[in-house]
Amino acid sequence: MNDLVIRAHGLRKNYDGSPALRGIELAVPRGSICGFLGRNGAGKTTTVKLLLNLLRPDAGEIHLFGDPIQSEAAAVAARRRIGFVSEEKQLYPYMTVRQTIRFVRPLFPGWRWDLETKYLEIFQLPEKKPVPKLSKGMRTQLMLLLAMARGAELLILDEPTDGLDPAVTEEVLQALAGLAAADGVSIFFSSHHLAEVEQIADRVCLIDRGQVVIDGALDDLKMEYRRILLVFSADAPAAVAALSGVDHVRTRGRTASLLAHGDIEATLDRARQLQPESVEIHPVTLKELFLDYVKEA
Amino acid sequence: MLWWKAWMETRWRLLFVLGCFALLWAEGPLFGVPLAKLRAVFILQYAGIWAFAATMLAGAGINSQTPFGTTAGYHGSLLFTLSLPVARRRLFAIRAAAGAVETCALIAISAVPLALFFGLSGATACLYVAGACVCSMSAYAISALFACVTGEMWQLYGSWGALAALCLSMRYAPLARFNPLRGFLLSAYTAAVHPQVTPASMPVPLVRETLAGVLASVPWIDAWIGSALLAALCCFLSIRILERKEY
Amino acid sequence: MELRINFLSGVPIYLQLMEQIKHAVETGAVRAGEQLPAIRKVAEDLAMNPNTVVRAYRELERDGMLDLRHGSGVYVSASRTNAAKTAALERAGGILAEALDEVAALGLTEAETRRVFESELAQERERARPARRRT
Repeated sequence: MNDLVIRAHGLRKNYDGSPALRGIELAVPRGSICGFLGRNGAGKTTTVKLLLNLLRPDAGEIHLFGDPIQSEAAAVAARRRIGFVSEEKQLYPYMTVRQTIRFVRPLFPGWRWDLETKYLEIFQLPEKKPVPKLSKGMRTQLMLLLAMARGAELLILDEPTDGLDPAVTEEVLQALAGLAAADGVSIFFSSHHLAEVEQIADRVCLIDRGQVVIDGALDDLKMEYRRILLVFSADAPAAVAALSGVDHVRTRGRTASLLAHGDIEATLDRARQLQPESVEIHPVTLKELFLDYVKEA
Repeated sequence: MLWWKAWMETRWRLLFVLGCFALLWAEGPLFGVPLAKLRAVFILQYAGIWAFAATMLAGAGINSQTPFGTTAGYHGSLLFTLSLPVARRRLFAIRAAAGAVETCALIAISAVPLALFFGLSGATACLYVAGACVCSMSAYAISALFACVTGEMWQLYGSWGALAALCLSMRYAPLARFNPLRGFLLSAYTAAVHPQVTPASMPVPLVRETLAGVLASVPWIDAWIGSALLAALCCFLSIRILERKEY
Repeated sequence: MELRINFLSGVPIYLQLMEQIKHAVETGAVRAGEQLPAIRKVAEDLAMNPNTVVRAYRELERDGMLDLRHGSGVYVSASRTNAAKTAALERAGGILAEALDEVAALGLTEAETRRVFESELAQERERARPARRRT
């Protein structure tokens, strides 16, 4: 049951003296689709690079597929089972689509010819076209094809839908969902498009200023968090800010907006004791969670 | 496929250097200089182009750019390469070997017209090619080391600078015997040797003194040893740096 | 069967999927004994997490609406509870129609009515939650 495809503990990384990561913990179960969120500069790309051994952590350890990746040999063995799509989506400028595929293929003994054919067709990639002449959407699709057709057990994607039009985005998400459903591939992807994360991810990990602030199943998060809106007859009492079970409070004149977590019933009772005029409960979207957590000073 | 990738990265540069040799041979007809007189000139020019070729064809195997990429910094494909299940050491080794083979092939090819026109004996020609190949490895390795440390633009500037320093050091240090560039010049000299081509006949004093110093001790085994050592050192450093480097 | 999921509504996706399948069964768009699309197909077509589809199908199997036959697919089960559910839905429609008449008499707009309704629904969900947790 404890089959974690990515396990990271206490990761720290400094750049020029300033800390980029300050103790990251990750636990991604096999078969899950995990959305990795955070503001620009929060440490997402650094974490991804650490997972691929492009950087070495100053402290902490990483286990992929249950094995540590400290030595080069172990990291290479892990990468044989991983498909990666980088943020810039750059491939070799002197190769065509077909040549790029031919180049990557021999490196993976478990190459899936059926997936290569399937996605060449679905994405309609022009085989003879040189890679620099492809649009960003096609380059992303090519990189995704290379990542999926290699028979990877884990996909690590850095902003896979960045800059793509809605049609291409949907194709990409469908491909990812299909792969996860058919072959149980685990997917760890960072994204700024929270709507897409809500659509396809079953786990979410939010990092802010080098630390993990939210980590859990998306369904659980949606059940555990609620927004409570209170309207008072006079200015909202200061006691609102001190309510337990509330993560964030925003008061504006006579209204107070609370982000409640955990035992919502009990928090509601406590809130009602402050005698508000009206009490409203709303579910919380991922975007609201994100903004509340990262905006707090 | 890594060999093929190395070829794709270097083929235009190879063609460019071959073009330089073609220009060299066109000097005679172009400027109306008789072939016999060109022999003396060829010594330096050949040595120069070999060193230049060695620096142009070297690479770290990790950073790939367009044929004559001169933008500073790394190309984005770097992350893709490093995410592949290939050890960095292997990426470097294959790229280095491919470029080295190309350099030696280039030297061998450039020797052909020399042998034809200047009537070199078989033994001389082989010694000449062998010597140039061994000595080019040091220039190659210096360039590869720079490639590991910097992007492709600074790889060229840096290695040319290093070679220029090696060149100047030939006149002064007692270790000049081991200087790889001496080997280059000796190789070219052997090929270009003509009774009338002596240090005294050189027009430029710098060249006169250098050539005299170069010829001062034969055989060239010292230069070969120096070359091999320098190349080995640079390769060792290259791999160490690559394995520790953070991208 | 036309499935539409609103990924941003705040309502858990598996619940939306369950509701849509139930609706399809109750309106006769899918009949008893008919096969539903495979989990993989639903996940891929809607670009959604396959585990969510699994959850929806499993919950519906628990409720007696679906039959997950290992190896052969997902089928709508011919169950007695369907008829009971249809009747309950009709009755609920009647109750709500009366309530809406009364609310309309208060002079609220449709948007206001919807807001009050959703708030009450959310509170009702909260009251029911502790009981749900224990199952």
